Amino acid sequence: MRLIVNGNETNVSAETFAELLLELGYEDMPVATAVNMSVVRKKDRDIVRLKEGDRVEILVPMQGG
Amino acid sequence: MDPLQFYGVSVASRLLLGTAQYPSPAILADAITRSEADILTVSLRRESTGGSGGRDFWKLISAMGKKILPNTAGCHSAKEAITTAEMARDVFDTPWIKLEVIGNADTLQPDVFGLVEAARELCAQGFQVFPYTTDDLIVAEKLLSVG
Repeated sequence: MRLIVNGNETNVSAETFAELLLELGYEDMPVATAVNMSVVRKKDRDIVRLKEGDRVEILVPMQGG
Repeated sequence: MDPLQFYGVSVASRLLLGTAQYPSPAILADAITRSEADILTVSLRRESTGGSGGRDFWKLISAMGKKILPNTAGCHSAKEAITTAEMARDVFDTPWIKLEVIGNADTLQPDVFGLVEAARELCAQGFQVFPYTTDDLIVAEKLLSVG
């Protein structure tokens, strides 16, 4: 399936958000997630299913002022 | 001097410390320790797939045992800032948000109209907002009036 992940076209086999994070190597990492500008909370990642062309955001804690 | 309070939380230090632009993680950790600041600001950003920068940064920050104030740095609209704040609340487990809506990318002057709009929505959602604003008293009154 083709997704837009953080602005980049990405082909994945994951069907849920939780599977996507595993596939992309974000396991054991605090991340914030959204799909098509809607926040996907941690508790919902197992049930939110992705579909072709979804725009996914995966944000991580970074230095900030 | 009375202790500084934010939304009912007392802090011993009046210094809120940013975590950007340090030359190395070791210097950042040293600065946090020596400053004795109680509150650290952090941001949420995109990282290349599976990158370790965010993981290492978060490991360092969480080990310091400080209060975390997430920000909406890099947001140029109220909608973007609201979404980022919602994401920050989910990942950092705090209602605190340093709300930034940037009006000019070079000067980083805030867009105070977008700021008030975003503050209204976030306060309604139960966020505890720390607005990044100017010294304009009318804007300050508007921010107070929205919560």
